[in-house]
Amino acid sequence: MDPVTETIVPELVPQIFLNFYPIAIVVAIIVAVIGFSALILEKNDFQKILVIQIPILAMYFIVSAVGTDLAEALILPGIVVALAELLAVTEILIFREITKKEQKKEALEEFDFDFKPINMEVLKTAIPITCLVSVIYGAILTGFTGGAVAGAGILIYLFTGKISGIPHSFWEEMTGISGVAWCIWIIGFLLLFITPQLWLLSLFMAGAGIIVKVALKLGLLGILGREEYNV
Amino acid sequence: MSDILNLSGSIIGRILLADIVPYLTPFSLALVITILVFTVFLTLSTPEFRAMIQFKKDVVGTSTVEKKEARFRRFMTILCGVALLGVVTTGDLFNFALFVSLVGVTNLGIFAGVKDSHVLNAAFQYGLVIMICSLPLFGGVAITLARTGTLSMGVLAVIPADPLVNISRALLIIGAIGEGALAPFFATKVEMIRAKGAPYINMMHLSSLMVFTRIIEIIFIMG
Amino acid sequence: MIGRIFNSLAKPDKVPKAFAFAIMLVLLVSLVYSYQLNPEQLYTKPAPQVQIEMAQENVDVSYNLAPYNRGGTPLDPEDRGIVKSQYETGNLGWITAYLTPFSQWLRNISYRFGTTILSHPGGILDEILYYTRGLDTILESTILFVAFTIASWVILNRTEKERKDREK
Repeated sequence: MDPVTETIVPELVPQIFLNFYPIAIVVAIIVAVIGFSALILEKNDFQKILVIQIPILAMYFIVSAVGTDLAEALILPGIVVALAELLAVTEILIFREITKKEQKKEALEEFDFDFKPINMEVLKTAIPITCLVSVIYGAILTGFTGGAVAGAGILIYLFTGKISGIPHSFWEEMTGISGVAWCIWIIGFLLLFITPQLWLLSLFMAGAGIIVKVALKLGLLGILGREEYNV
Repeated sequence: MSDILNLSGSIIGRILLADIVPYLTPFSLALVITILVFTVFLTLSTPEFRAMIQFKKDVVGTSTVEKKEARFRRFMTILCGVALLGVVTTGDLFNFALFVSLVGVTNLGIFAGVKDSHVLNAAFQYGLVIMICSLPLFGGVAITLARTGTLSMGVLAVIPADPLVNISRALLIIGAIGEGALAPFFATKVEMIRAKGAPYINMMHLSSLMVFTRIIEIIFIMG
Repeated sequence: MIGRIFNSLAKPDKVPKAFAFAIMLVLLVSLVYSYQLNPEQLYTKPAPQVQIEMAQENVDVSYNLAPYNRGGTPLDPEDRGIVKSQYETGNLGWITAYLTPFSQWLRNISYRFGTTILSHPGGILDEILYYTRGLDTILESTILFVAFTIASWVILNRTEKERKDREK
C-alpha cells in the first residue's frame, strides 16, 4: 500500500472533529428545544408541519457531528425519511380539510384562487431554459442528487407553465414507470452486492433507475398540483 | 455477544452479507413465527361488516370498506409484516431505526385512506408524531455511534456500560414509543382510531407489541 | 390525577405536544453529561483542507479528489482504497476510486474536484451507500416508495370523488 495514501486517511478521528463535537451537540439540543417549544405553543395544524422541520434539523446536526464518512452516508436516509413522511402527512392534512368541509356542506371557496399571472416576457423564456438546464445537469449527475435536480426542473416547469388538463390514466402510467425504475435500481444494487465484478454495469443501473424514480416522483407532484386546480 | 446469549439463548442462524446481518435466536424465532402467522391470517381474511343504526329513525344497515380500499390496506399490512420481521431480526442499530420508521409509515398507510374526518385527524396527529420521531431515533443511534464507534449489536453487546449510552437508550425508547404508538402517549389508541376495516387495523396493535418487545431487548443489549 | 392526564391524552391533537414535551425533557436532562466523541471511529476522514494542501505539494494527480480521496484504483485487488469498515466483506475498497472520463478531466485541471457539488458514480460515498451499508439505501428508498404510495392513494381517492361529484 502506498505510504502517502496511508497518511491521508487517518487511523483516528482528527482533533478538530473531537473539539467541535460537544459544541455541535449542545447547539443541536438548543435548536431541538426551540423547535419543540414552538410545536407545543402552536395551534395551527399546517404551521405544526413547518415547525417540526426544526427538530429534524437538530437531528441532522447530531448525526453529522460525528464527522466520518459513515455519518455523511447516514445523513441521506435521514433526509429521505423526513421528506417521505412530510409528503404523506401533508396529503392526509389536505384530505382531512376537504372531508371536514364536505361534512359542513360548504363549497371549497378557499381553493378557488382568482389567480392571474403577470404577463412578462422573462416568465415565458426563463422558465423553459431553467427547466432544460436542470434536467440536463441532473442527467449528468445521475443517482439520487441527479434525480432531485432533474425533478426540481420538471416541477418548476409544471408549476409555472400553462395550465392544461392531464388525463387520469397518464398519472397511473407514470406510477407504473416509477415502480419499474425502482425494480431496476434494486436489481442493480443486488448485482453489485453478489458479483462485484459487474460493478460498472450495476452502478449505472442503480444510477439510472434512481434518477428516473426520483425525477418522476417530484414531477408527478407538480402534475397533481395542476390537476387539482384544473378540476 | 455474551449479552445476546444471556438474554435470548444461542444464535440459531445468521446471515453475514455486508450490513445485512439478521440473526435468529429462540426468542426472536417465536416473534418471527407470530408475525408470519398473523400477517398470513390478516391477508387472507375479508374486511368486517360494521352495523349502522341511526337512532330515532328506521335506518339499520351494514357498511364496509370498498374493494379497492381493502386492497390498498392489505398491501400496507403485508409491508408492515415484512418491516416487523426486519425489526425483530436485524443485528444493526441503524437498520433497526430505519425498520421502525418503515413500520410507522405503513401503520399510517393502513388508516390513511378512510373517508372520515375523525380518523383522518388521528392519522394526521400520528403522522406528526412519526415525523418528530426521526430526532430521537436517528439522534439516539448517532450518539451511540459517537460514543462507541460502532453500530453492530454484536460488538455493542461486549462494550461496557457508559452514562452517555443511557441518553441514547432513553431517546431510542421514546422514538420506539412514538413510531409503534405505545402506551403512555397512545394510551387511548383504540378510542382515537375508530376506523372500519377491522382485520387490517389489528396490524397496528401487533406492531406496537413487537416494537416494544424488541426495543427492550436492544436496551439490554446496548452495554 | 393520572386519569385526568390520560383523559386529556384521548384527544389526538394533544398527543404530539405531550410527546414533544417528553423529548424536550430528555434532551435538557442530557445537557448534564459532557459529550465526548470516541476517536476510534469507522470510515475516518482527514481534517478539512489537509488533502488539498497535500495535493498542492504532491505532483500525483490522484490527490486532487479532496476531500473524498481514499486512494486505490477500481477493479484492482492489489491497489484498493482504504476503507475501515464495520463488516468484513471480501471486496472492500473496490469502487472508491472510480471516475468517469469527464470527472478524470476535471480532476486533472483542478485541485478541488471533490469539493464541487458535481457528483459521480463510484467514490467513497457510493461504496458505503451501495456496498458496505446497502440495506440502509434499500430501506430508505422503500420508505420513500411507501410514503409516495400513501400520498398518491389519498390524492387519487380525492380526485375520483370530485369527478363523481361533478358528474352528478
